[in-house]
Amino acid sequence: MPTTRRAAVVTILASLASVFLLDAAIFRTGIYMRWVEADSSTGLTEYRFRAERDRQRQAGNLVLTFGDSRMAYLPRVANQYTSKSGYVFRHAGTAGSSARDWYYLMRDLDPRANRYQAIVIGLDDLEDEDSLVSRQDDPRSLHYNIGRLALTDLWDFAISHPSPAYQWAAIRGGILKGIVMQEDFHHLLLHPKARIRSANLNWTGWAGWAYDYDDEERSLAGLSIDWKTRQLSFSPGMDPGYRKMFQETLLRKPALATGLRGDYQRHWFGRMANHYRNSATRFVFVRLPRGPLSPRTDVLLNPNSSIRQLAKQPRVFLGTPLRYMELERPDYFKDPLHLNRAGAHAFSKMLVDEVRELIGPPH
Amino acid sequence: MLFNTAPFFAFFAVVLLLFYAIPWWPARKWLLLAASYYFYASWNPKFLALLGSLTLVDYFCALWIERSRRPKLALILSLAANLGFLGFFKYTNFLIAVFAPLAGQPVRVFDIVLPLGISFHTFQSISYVVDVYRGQQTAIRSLPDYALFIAFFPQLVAGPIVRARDFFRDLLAWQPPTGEDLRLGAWLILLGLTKKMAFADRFAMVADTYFNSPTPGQLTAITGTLAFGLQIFFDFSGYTDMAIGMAKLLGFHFPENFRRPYLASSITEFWRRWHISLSSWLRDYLYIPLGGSRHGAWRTYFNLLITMLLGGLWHGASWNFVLWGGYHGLLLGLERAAGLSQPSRWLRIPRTIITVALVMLGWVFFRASTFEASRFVLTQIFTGEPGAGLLNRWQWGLAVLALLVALIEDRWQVTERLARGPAWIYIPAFALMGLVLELFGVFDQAIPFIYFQF
Repeated sequence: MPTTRRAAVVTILASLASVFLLDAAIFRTGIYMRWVEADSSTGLTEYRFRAERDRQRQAGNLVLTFGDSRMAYLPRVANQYTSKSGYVFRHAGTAGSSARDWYYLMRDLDPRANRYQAIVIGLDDLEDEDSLVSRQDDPRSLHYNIGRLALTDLWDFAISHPSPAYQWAAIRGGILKGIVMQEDFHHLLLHPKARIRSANLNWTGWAGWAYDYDDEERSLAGLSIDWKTRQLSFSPGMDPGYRKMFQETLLRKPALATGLRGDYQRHWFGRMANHYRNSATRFVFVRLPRGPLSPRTDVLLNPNSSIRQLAKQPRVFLGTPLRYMELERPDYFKDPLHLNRAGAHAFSKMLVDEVRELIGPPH
Repeated sequence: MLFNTAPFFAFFAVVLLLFYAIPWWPARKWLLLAASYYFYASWNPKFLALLGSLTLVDYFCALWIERSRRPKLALILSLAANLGFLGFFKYTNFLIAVFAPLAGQPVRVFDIVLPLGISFHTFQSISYVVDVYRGQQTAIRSLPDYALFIAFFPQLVAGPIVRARDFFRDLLAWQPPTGEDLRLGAWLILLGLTKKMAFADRFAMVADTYFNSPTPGQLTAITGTLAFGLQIFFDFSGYTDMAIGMAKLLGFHFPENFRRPYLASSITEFWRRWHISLSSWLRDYLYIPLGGSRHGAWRTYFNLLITMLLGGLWHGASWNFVLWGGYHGLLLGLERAAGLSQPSRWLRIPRTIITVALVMLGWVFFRASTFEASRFVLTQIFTGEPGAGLLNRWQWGLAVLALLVALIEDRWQVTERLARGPAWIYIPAFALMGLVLELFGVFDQAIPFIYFQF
């Protein structure tokens, strides 16, 4: 029997819907995420999400921290002081992530805003100067969040990227998640056995390994600077690539404050704080150790920066800016940006102390 | 606006909605004409004048041919205008590069931008005017109708080269598409998009890497060439599928342009399956007027060679395209001389493999940027050190999947059956195709269609 035009149109619309439904069946139900590569942006976020969600059932008085790779603290070390602090520290940040990524992960970990005593965010500084990497237009963000994004997030998430190309990529990928998971899927096709083996191992072991992780011991001991001439002296054998990193971080000229970073932080940290507006959870911003060589002083550029404004809200706390200055030594850093094992241990303990001082005992 | 981009789909969706929202047929035609000119102008508005001029010239020449006692003059005028523009834009620099050294003059290259789709719409115009001259087609009275024939956006920039009788049969007695047409049209659009983005663009990455700077190695050269052979097929047939699909949704029927060419068991059969609208154009307006096969064996070989040389030159102004055309002309002649142009039931598989290998060798001339590069690649294919293959496991998987689909389609015409079959088969098939597209499609960069440059 010939197909009527009306029936054909209905069939075509149903077919378009079926493309979405098939994608959803694979990528929105957790089927695929069971096999996702752990060592990828999406995999890290998803494994982190599962580990933290499982942990919620096992312990109370949880403090959840967020930060990028510079937030080199170790929950295992911090929790050695639980009897003194009263808190169990957990970490949900991943290298390269930023406020937008932390919001979606935090929202899904604590949808009712009642599972954590505090949310602690580690920041490079409290100003609104543009950072080295644009966080607003970061293509990695879609990969970090793809497992977390619901259809209702689509518009919000997409327009948070300033450039139309990223907005379109976010809308497209937010509807058909398979597009974002392409590379992971191709890798799975190339090495199926290895992926299944590693996924099975990670499924049971990842949370423990992440918790037990300890940082590298190597340090920048021997590094020094003459602040007057801004000349660096390297110790013998130091990676020559660090010189460029120092130029881009420690010795870089003040960046522009275009307002983009301020708007970004105001928006996403504002949403995070807003999520806990009517809850007992406290919100803490701490400033991370700046680097292996830092001036003894700090310049306050903007007393009304986005972070300082947010800290005026109830239950939002701001750590002491130079609290971790004593860690800003070459022997506590493994490279120009990251603490080494000794630095991470020392920082973890100091962080517990600062958080405890700011928010008081558990309630 | 490339066919594989979101702006084009937004444009097409608006055109489709407006087309069916307008109840008055003449207004629908005006809408299609305006949309087609808008589509063309979105590439380069300056060339609208060229398109419009050629449209006017051919429209009036056709009327003149029909009414005049000296129709040849009008035919010559039309041919001169079409070939003149085509020659100027496409071959000026090539001819200068060829003849200036012969005349002892320095080669001075002009900065000439090739108007999009000029090779296609000039051939389409020529076929119309020649058909009118031959009395096989009545001259179209309505200028907007004729302008739409030339500018119709689904096939304006890369074909298929539609014959006037086919187009006006639809336009002058337009019927809304049947349910099967709608389903087939939607399927072809998705199929074409998948061919382009999931297959052609994937193989393009390999082929471009190799041909942009060919490296030594036999397997490297073979896989690089194979990648291009797959790229060009999926690219062009994908575009054509989309063009046919879009036309179907608007109630127009374009001729088939590809019929699984890599399953051909001879070069003759290959050209009956590859870019059918061009090869049939070359046959009807070049090969047969040259005498075809009516004047003995040697004249037939000569006609084949001339036709394919010009067919090669139609693709682009370089010696490589001439060589590619000449190579195919030579193979067609040899096949005919050896009596191998007819299919053989028993030797079909080995002959298909040989045919594909010969076609792939021809693609080296087509893709390599210079004659020296072609020679290097061919040398590597035949005498190079082993080297490393360029296709990874899932790219081979895509190639094998495509071969299986082609064999199934060749045997059972699945696409047609799918359009007529029950919804419970059509819908899951559509979903699976969509999944292939999203998992393998190249989305982060819009790689232009190869034939857009012609």
